[in-house]
Amino acid sequence: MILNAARTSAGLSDKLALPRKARVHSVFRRAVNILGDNVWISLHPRHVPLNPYSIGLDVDASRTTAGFLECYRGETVTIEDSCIILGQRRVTIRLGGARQVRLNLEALTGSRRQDVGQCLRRLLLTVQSFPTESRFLRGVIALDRKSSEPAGLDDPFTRRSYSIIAGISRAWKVGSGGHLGNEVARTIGFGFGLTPSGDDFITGMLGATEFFASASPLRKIMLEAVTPNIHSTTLPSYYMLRAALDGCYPEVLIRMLLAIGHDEASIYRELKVLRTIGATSGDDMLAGIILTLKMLSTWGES
Amino acid sequence: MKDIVVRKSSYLDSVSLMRISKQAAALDGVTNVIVAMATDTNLMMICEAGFDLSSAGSLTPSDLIIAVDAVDGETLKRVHSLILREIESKGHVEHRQALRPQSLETALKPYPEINLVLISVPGKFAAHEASKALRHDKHVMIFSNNVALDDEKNLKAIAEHKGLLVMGPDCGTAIINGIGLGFANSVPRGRIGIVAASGTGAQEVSSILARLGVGISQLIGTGGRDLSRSIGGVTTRMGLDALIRDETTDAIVLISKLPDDEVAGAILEIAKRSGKPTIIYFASSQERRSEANLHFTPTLTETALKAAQVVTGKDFTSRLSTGDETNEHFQSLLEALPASRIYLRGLFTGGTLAQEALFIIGPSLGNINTNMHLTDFSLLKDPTTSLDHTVIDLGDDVFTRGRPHPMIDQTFRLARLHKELSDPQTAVILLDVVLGYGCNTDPAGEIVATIRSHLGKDRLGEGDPVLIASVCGTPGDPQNYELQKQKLKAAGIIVAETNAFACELALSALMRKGNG
Repeated sequence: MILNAARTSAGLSDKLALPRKARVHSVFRRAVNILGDNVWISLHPRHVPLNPYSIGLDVDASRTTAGFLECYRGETVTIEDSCIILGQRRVTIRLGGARQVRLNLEALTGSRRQDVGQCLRRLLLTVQSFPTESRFLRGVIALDRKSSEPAGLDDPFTRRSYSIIAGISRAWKVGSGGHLGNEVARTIGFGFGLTPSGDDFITGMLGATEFFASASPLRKIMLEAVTPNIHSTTLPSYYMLRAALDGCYPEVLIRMLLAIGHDEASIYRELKVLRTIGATSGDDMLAGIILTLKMLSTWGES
Repeated sequence: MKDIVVRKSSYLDSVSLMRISKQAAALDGVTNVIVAMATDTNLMMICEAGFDLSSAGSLTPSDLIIAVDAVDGETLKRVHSLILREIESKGHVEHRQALRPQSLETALKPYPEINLVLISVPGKFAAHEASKALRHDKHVMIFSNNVALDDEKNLKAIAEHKGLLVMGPDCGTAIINGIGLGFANSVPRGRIGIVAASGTGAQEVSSILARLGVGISQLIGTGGRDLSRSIGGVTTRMGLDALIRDETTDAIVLISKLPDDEVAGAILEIAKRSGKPTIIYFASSQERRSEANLHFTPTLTETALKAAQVVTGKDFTSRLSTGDETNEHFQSLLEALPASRIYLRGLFTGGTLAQEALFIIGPSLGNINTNMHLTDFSLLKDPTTSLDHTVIDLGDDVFTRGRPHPMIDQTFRLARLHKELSDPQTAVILLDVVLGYGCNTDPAGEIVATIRSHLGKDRLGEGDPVLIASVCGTPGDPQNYELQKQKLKAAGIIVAETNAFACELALSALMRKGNG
């Protein structure tokens, strides 16, 4: 069987230029993950938003990828001649004609940075109308209320999520970069999911700091805290964080950040897409964006 | 009541994880449920929530950890089974998508680099599949039993000619390059190599070593008949040669049920010539004198202790608790045992553990009846019914033809346990509880449930037979080693550290009853 790649991230395309051996790492309903020497590839139908390490295949959206590819864990994968070959040429994925999508952020200009407070207000107005399962998003929204204690959900995940948010916020307010870095470090690998919620939250923060305030001390603290700790999580998350440190982000996150600078209709449209990612991944990234905006809006006050 | 279960290298999408967690948390009697990847920060949170991770073994962020806090053991069990069922049925698209080859050829096609084939099919088809694997130049492990002796002989002759290993037939356990095959425990890598013509013997030794913190390099199974005169020890010889040449192996453990003298002699000569320390356990009453680099040991426990001492230079004897002989409960059970209760009933799932029991208890207790063909003991005409002192190997072909091994399915043993508990002459019941990959997921729980249903109470007490068990397993095993022991103890069962210690306890109890 020969399949064509429809879309891929430009960064991944560069990595696949050299021949290499890999294995199928995991198979899900809509994605097949491949792990090779220092490279992680996620295969999915083209309608699924891209990640920095993913390839959208030109397959019918009504058919699931896994069923289409009939992959199984541990199957050998060969990458050569712009092709990904599963097993003994049972499935060949041609990469040549794929549209390459740049998943980098262009930092906003200084003038746009002045709008951070306004962006935050617009975003919060829209977000508050959505129910969410994300502990991080609930915690971030509750942050300015009189009580930031967990309401309704009293479990270890909720308690720690709230504690992380309060810790990061407090450290920023008192200007303690060390404490802030520690809080960020203990967020890596924390929470639900194959990409734990904490990592989605951190990715959201990294994206937001790069987009809104690449010169902020917050950006520097984030990079210094995340870089040495990215091995403390699951493999898919490691690759997501590594890409973020290199300035590459999930397509949904980039679109969300771009929309925040526009009107509420754009925000609403992108929010709906972002929130379809994972059980709470999209909401956790959103929580990272909101907390960053809240912190940046007080930048200069502290 | 808190408990954790670990699923190694398990990948579930977050939507499934959240749904499963919610379902479990909604059950009556559940206080807390955490289902998450075993990252450092999640493990820290789980510890802070009061869970004990010491029995979970080594964990990586690729492992899925399920922590449940419930009001009682029954609820705990219900929650775990719900979560595991959900994971199997829903979350794991992978299982449904996995390659399901219909023949050896289709299995080998996408994986030409495979060099070992594990065969677990009904015995009469196993030889045919094994010969196909050998034709493809693959090493073979035959888990199946009930394979004809001539077939085994032919397969091993072909394999030896090609320089390939045939582990089995009836090879229950092997650990090759750290990967467990068949029934295997979660043991660390180390410098002791094991060649074993006995599955549970190998499990007992490797588990004791693991509990002492000592690991193994390879565990090569040979099948129970390998050291018979007909087979001539082909696989044992090849396994021994491999471990002698292996630079990562500092000492070798050789385990077998009673071997043929001539075959054993040839094997021992190879071991002696190599100069590598070799610790040998041959289940028999015959005493052998250690010489040069060959160390003979009378029990599996001493085999493990000696091997650990050889590779580390330390004496581990004091690290193993000798049992509960002074335990108040044990004493009270013995004192209250009615005069009519005088007989031993050993119900073993592991053949070598059963033989070890015979050779430890037999010399002091006198005649013991068994279904194993051993010259020093009387053969039971009807293995389904005990007679006076009886030790039964429930893994014997008689009990396993057409049904799973009792280490997987305890139905026969539980029925037999019921029967022995009903016998007014039963004084001591000796049990092995074997854990590890491939084994029953909750053997202790099933035993305890049988006792409860028989006695109509939660705990054995005065007037009841004394039950003594050993748990063959490690803290890294999927059944949760500590929890299995706790379940047995809570039901009033005396739990010994090893099978040999359990046998010593049983013997002391029976001697006090005036036996011997």
